[in-house]
Amino acid sequence: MKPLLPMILAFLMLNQAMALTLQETLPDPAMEARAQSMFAAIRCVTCQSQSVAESQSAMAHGMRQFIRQEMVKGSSDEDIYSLLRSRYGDAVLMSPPVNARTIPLWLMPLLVLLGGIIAAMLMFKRMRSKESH
Amino acid sequence: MLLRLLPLLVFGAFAVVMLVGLYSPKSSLFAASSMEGMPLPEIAPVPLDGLPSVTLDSLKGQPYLLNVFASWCSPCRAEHGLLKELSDQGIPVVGIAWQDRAEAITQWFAEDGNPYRMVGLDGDGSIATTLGITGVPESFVVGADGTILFHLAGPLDEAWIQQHVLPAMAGKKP
Repeated sequence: MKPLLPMILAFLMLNQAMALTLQETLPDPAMEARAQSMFAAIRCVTCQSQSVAESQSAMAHGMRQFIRQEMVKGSSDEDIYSLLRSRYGDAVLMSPPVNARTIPLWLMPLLVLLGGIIAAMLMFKRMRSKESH
Repeated sequence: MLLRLLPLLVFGAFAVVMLVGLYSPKSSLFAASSMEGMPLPEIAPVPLDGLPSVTLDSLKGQPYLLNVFASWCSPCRAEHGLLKELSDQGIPVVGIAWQDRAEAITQWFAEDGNPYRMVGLDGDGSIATTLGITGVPESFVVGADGTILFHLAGPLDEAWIQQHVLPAMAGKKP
């Protein structure tokens, strides 16, 4: 057991050191909180449906650093969203904006639901008319 | 009969749309050419020991090729020969290494040659976002006025070089 203790301690210290390197948070807590909330709203461009807050990929790490650097430069949230959209399009936002291009995307579930309700109503009507005959 | 098949038809149509989207060569949500027409943003790659560092100001007034690569990336190694040919023709090629280590880069260049007039490292990965890339390799043809003329997501090939790189380097307007 004794030789294991230094190894466990070394492992814990290494883990701690790696966590510090990976996080690289901003010194200003308010600015870091702003950055964190933006990370949740931005899609990682190499991941499947993950925000940059959730993803551990190298690209997401770079995107987080980009957002932090822009905040330090004094860019507003809108400026940063605009910079990211100019590079990756609206798809970089976790919630795409409602506009002429994306309206079918937003309406599709409603249309499918409406189609399903109409189909179900017609089927029931048919079944009832068969039963009454 | 048609009514009974309706749910199946709707599901089938939905599945076809999804599969086409999934397997389409342009299935990426993120447009690879969205940087075209924009001025190249300011970047400050980390210098690499023993290699000429990136000073884009020194290239003002002349077109050049900016290439983002990594020594661990097979397509980057595959396009290395083409980059060397361009460099041998006197075309300025600037390299940004993404998610890489200085030792791995210098070892690769020692083995296969260095096609870059200047090269640096994207230290924290933020340059990738500044340039709007989604992976490596990616290349940008930058005009004499600093505007991004063309952006290629993926490895260079002869056809792309003939169509985009060489005319731009000869000063022809796209």
